[in-house]
Amino acid sequence: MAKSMVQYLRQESYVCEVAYTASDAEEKIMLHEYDCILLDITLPDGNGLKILEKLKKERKLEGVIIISAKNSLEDKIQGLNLGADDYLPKPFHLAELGARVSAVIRRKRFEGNNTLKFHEIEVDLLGKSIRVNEKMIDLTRKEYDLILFLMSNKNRVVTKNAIAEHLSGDDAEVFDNFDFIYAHMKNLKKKLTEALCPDYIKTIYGLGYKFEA
Amino acid sequence: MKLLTRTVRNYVLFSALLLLISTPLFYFSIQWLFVKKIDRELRSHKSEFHELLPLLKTESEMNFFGLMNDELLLKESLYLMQNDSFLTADIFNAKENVIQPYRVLRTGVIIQGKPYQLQIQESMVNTGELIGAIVAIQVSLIALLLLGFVLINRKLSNTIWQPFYNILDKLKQYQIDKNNSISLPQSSTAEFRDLSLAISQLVKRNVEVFQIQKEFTENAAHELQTPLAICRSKLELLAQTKDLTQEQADLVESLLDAMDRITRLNKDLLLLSKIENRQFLETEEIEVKTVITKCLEIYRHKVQEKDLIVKLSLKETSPLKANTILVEVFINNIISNAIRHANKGGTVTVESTKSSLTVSNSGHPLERPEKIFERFHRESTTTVGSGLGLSIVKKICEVAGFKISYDYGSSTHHFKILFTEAAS
Repeated sequence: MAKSMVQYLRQESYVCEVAYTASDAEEKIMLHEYDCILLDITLPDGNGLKILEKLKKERKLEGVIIISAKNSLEDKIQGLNLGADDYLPKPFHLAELGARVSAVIRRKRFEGNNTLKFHEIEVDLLGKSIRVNEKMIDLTRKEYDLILFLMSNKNRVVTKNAIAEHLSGDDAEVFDNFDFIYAHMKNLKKKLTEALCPDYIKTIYGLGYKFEA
Repeated sequence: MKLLTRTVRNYVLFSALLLLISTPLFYFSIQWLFVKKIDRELRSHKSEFHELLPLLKTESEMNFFGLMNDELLLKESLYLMQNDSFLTADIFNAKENVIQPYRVLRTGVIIQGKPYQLQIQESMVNTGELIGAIVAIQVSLIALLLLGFVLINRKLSNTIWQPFYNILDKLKQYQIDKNNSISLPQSSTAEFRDLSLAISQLVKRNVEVFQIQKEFTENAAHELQTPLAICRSKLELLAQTKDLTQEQADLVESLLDAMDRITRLNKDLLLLSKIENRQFLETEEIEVKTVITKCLEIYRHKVQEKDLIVKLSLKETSPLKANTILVEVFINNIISNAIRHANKGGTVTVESTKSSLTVSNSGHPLERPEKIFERFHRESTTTVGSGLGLSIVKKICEVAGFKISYDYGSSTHHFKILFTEAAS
């Protein structure tokens, strides 16, 4: 699992290091400064939440995303109370992980002053709006979510399944058809093209989409 | 018929029959005994008379004797009676001026060479009264005995069977998924003690099996999560491969779809077993209206896509005291179920009042409506739900104390949920 995550994140040219045990992780945390730490709660030699406590005691500024197979509310609340930035229950789509990691890093790096730029596209993360060539485009909430999700996973294939789950949210029962994604995607592409934006969104067969220059 | 009535009825029937047969039998046997006794007395009178006979020499002596003993009657007869004959006859009693039953012994004697007929008679009035009295006492005794017998038996049975009824009550109330152990009343009767013990052991074994099964589902679902996550992430990595051909992309796509379904199924199973294991206990005040509105917002797209008409009638509701997660899952499932199964262009109605929620959707009748809440029961093979949505709904209702009912009328499926029980 860790290997897949590393492999996926490296494609976005993140530098990743893996610690398989709690002691290993603690050592690495003390020695280095990271942008984002993905923390599994169940580690072979201890609870991941202990590491989180230690991090906060040392006043480290790393963003922390808790990953847990338990999917229990207590873990989530406890983790977030301890100062974790996000909580991702297993199983998750790697694209979802990519989006969350990039969100955490963005928050840490820009400290709230949040804009994301890609060529002529500028995303205002606070106002949840998008400008292309300095011109505001009117996007629906879902279209905004969609393009941000794709941009957070630049150069990687984002599967329809991951998009569907991301757009529907945790609670929604996902209906087994992706028509609504096609509809959103069609509208989004149309709006971008109208704003004279090159088509960065490539369709990868029936599998999904890829945002690339 | 109750066990008690059954036993008592048999006893009563037998006793009544006995009474019916025994009373005349008893009467006649007593009478026969008395008659025998009188006959013996008559015979002894006869022998006494024979002893006196030599003393009676003259006619006047004889007459005097006759006057002294009015039970003796001497009549001249033409021939000598050889045998004694006994008979019962009604004879006029001159002294008391009534006709009374007598036992009569007729025999022949020879006095002074002449044959006489000797008639010795004994009144049976006293005897008859005695028999009557004896029989009456006897019968009333038997009747009293019978009555007492029935009463005592009834009372005794009531107390004796009381532990049994207690046990029965406990068993009726027992639900394996609600109570863990059963506490049966102690009894001093060995049989009931045995019964209690046997039931306790049976329940204990069942609880164990039930627990193991519950744990198995949860553990299995839990253990599957990691391999599922690995599978999925590897597939997603595979999708990242450069120069993926169309053919490979199709394979990855269908694998990912299948993966998604397993993941969802697993998630639902896990949720179901967590609800069964009562892992959602904390309760809060929840505004049902808000949850419904939020939920419908999530499915707005699906509603548009299917051209559904959503009729909403949300009355001012009092906050519901329940577990937030459960209520959200519950409303989510019931509404998504309605949207999923509504026919294209149909209607979905959500009505909420103070104490109830009704979710209806138009559609064809079900073939087996009684199985609607069962796990993995699907009416059609075209829908691709996990088959657990409504089971989860049902389970949540059980846990939260809601009442859910399903019925079908005017080509619409109705789910009605009563919250009232939760308030109590």
